[in-house]
Amino acid sequence: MLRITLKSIRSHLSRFIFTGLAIMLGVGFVMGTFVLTDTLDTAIGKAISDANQNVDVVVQGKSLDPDDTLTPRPPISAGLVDTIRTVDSVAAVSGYVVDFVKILDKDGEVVGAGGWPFASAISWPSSPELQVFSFRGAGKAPETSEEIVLDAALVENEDFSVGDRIELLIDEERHSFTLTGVIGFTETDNMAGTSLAFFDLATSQKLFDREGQVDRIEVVASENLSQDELVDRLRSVLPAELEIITGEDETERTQDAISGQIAIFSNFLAVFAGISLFVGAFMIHNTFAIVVAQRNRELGLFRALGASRRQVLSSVLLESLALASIASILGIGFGVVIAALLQAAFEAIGGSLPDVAPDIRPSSVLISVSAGLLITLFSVLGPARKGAGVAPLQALREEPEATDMPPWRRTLSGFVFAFLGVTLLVAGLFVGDGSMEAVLAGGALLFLALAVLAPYAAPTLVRFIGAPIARIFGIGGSMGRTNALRNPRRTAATASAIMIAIALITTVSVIIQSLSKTVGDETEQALLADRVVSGEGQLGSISPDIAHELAGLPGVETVFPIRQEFYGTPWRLDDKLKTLVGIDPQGIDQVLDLDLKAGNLADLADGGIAVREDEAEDEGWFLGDEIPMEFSATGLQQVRIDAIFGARVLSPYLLSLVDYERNIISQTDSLILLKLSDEAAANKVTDLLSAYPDLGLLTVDEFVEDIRGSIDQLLGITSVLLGLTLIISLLGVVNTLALSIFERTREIGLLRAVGMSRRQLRSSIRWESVIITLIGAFAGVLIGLGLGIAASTAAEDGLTIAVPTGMIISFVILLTFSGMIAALLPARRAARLNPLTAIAEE
Amino acid sequence: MQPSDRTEDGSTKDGSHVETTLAPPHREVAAQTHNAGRVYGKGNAQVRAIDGVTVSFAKGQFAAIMGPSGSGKSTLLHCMAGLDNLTSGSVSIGDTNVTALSEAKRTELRRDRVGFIFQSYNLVPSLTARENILLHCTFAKTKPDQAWFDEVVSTMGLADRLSHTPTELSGGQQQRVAAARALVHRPEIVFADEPTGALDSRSGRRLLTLLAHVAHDKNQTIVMVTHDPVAASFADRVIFLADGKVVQEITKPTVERILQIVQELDEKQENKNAEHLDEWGDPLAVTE
Ligand SMILES: Nc1ncnc2c1ncn2[C@@H]1O[C@H](COP(=O)(O)OP(=O)(O)O)[C@@H](O)[C@H]1O
Ligand SMILES: [Mg+2]
Repeated sequence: MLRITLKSIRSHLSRFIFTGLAIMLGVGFVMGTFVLTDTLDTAIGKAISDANQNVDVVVQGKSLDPDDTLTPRPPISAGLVDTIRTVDSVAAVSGYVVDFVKILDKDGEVVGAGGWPFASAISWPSSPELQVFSFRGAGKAPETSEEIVLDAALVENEDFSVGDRIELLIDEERHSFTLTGVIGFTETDNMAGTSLAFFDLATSQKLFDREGQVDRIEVVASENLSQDELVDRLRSVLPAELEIITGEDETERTQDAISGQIAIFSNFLAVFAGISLFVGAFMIHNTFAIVVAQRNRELGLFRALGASRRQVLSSVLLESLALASIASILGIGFGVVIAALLQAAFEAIGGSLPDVAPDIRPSSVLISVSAGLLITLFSVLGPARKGAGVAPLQALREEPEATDMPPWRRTLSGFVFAFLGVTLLVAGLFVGDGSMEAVLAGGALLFLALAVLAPYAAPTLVRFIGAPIARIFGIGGSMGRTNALRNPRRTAATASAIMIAIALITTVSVIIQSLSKTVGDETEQALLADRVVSGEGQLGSISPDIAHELAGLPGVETVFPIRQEFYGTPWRLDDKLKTLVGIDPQGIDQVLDLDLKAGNLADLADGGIAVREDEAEDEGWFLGDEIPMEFSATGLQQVRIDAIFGARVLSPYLLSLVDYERNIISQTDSLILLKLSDEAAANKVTDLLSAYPDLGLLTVDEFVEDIRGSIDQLLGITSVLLGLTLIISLLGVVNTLALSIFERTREIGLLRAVGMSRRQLRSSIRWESVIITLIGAFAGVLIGLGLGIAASTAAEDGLTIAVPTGMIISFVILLTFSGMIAALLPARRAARLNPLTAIAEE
Repeated sequence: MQPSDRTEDGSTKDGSHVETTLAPPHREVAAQTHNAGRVYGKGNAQVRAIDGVTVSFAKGQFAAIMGPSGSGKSTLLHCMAGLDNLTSGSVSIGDTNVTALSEAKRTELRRDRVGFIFQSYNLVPSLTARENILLHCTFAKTKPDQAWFDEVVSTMGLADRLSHTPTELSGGQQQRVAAARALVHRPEIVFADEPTGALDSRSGRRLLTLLAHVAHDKNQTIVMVTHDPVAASFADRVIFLADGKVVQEITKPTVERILQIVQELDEKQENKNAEHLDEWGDPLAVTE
């Protein structure tokens, strides 16, 4: 039986090419996601453990969020280094100052601008045991306040050489150093993609305001002491508020933090890989529905000769599984290639990874292949059961394939799916904290329901969309329409895949556009300032001195710094991390309309906080309540709510600058709002800012555009990923057309024999393709608009609906052309058929 | 025609006694039907494809079934082969009452105990001749009896064609592959529905000779539907159907005898049609 199955595949191989391709792409995306993220995980994990290889104990201040490596920790006294050195069995110890800088390239532009512009600034290890990197070529450690050492990847990319002056920005202020050496790790040129700048310790302390302080102390134990024992010994001599952990724990924690970030990225990709497979399923289903229909006679013969229903069923399933296995194996290879390409891209943009082989885990292969096989099995079950149900007598009588409309069972299951889908979707969005899994499952079910019900709508849509085409494009157009009407189920299934791709793109674009518009509108409404000083990509880390400098300019009426770390200033409410910003309560009515609901912002000056209305409601707070806030510098404090405001700008929590300075470790501004008397003042500001290469002066409109731009970027990324889905669904159109043409060989021969021209034939296939594509697009846009508007309206606090009409129209136009392109291959094949052999073919 | 020509009483016009529908006691029964009826459709569209057919086929017999188109030949064959269900009466193959079998059991019956040759060969195009011949065994997951396989293949003259696919074979060869397929699993009975219908007369004659040979020398029961008197003359016995009923049967047929009966039956049919029209007072009806 297996042999018969395999032979059957071989004889129908050309019919399976596109389906195999779809399975391969889907499995490849899944596999690629796994391999890429596992490889990154392994490589970065290795880089981290290599960097920490000699460290036995790490001593540092306690963080608000110990698991997050970005959250700043309070510096500790540099004198502790000496204390530790005197402890028994301590072989080496080194204190570090750790911060961020932006490095300027030879043209004065920030390196990595537009992406992650920061390099890690680290003081040079004072002990050689803790120096895990080495000089590339001649070089020496930084020793004076003028000297710097950089990593090899950065130096190579920017074409620096030892002796060059290196310009960099610390809190946007320009500094200049001489490059005295270039370092690299054993296997990599930088720290897994992060650039490194080394200063000597005293210089670091001065540059980053850590006089007499360090951020981190690394300790090496002598041979015979375990890490845990050393931790215990240090704990007995060091102050209790310090965090003292083993090097192993530190490595693991850092790796976990990175893995967590990679997992977010990987889940994001996995969702799209899953969508590709889901859309591919329609193609698999369609192909087998068609192939089984075309093989009715053969399957009927098998039944007549005594093959049991089960044998026929399993032969079709086996056939699909054989196909899926081959395609999945190719998909595995394809996935590895995708991962390698993406990794190469990562390295091309400056990431340097340890040379690890692609991390191909058995579990990844297993999951990818099973995903391919299961989705195939699931898609083929229906057609296979239909095939097994063929009456034996079908082999003896020539009975045309039934193109009946779906029975009531189909309708019922469609509605049941739709109901379950919507229920899951609503539950996933609104019950508790929401659940991504429920939303995805609900979405999948809803689309399944639509696909199941689609055959009912297909004829109407074909007539509707086909009408102008038939009128304008003559015989080809009207034959295309007739052909698209011939088998509503097939047309519907093919169009469904396109519908899903387009619906997803439309939904996402409506949501993102609405979000962008809402944020833009609210920002515009709240901003009374004339201008905004902002860093590139709003990743400004602006020294408070610059605000003071601006205040001294003539014509500058109000200078209003927004004090905030570039990754958001964290504070802790019980076990939740939240963010806040610092503002000056005095000048606020000049630059911001916060839509005050209760209290008085002026009171903030005196140790209170302003809370946004929605947060206060969620937490059940009222004006005058005292809330427990844990700050990075001062720990737990009871803070009184002095004002409640409505505007959704900046942050839900506003602290006065005075309190910010007292409670928060590092002091940088993310933005500076300005009120100017006239244009001349603006020019003066621009002049002043020219000394700060990463800062720009934006009008409110430009600033709003900038914010909207960073939200719109999301749309670009998701569109590209969903575009892959769209390509798979277009392959489905090629596939259906090609299979239909196989089926119509005789008829095409007849038409050609009685005088239809090749051009007419080609045009009829082209329009059939365009009609199928467009009904998918039409339905997809409608559903996408519905879902997008519903989700935006239902979003917390509601979004202002914005429909990206231009984008949708251009997608539809693009699809029309894609439909024509999809028809090229099948049309050529049909046109090539020799009328005589086509008729003769049995 | 005179009423005495009617053959329901088992006699023919020349008075000789024909074999009864019951097999002679000394010969084993391979298959028989009892009052078999098959109705298609409902209400006004109802068609009685076969209507009370009682026949019996002895082991080793090569029987032909003849009759005008639409007389129920194929239906009778399908019902006997377990491809279709009777609506009344019963069919048995050997000791097995086919009518009482479930679909699964009937499938097994078709697989193990019945062979079928179709008019349009019905070979699987992707499989070689050998694989086509072995389909029954494949479905049954059994190994063919190699000696019997060789014998059937050489009898059918296919020994050097086994690895060819159907498209590489002539019509006659294809039909011999189909015949080999119907024989190779040693079925109790082989049904053939107009097996020579698509063949030229030479290929047809060759196949018929082979079928007759298999029946007589290998003790294989064969029931063949045909409308070709020459083809029918190869059989041991011919059963005539009309309007779903057995109307006559003869043994040791000759082409002339068959032609004669066919003609008589045709005339009877015409008369019947004429009577039918008379009843309705057709003005065009001509009286003899
Ligand atoms: N599946 C069916 N549905 C309805 N009528 C049928 C079917 N099969 C056969 N018939 C009818 O039954 C009668 C006998 O058909 P058949 O057995 O094929 O005759 P024969 O093979 O002698 O030409 C014909 O009138 C035919 O139209
Ligand atoms: Mg017939």
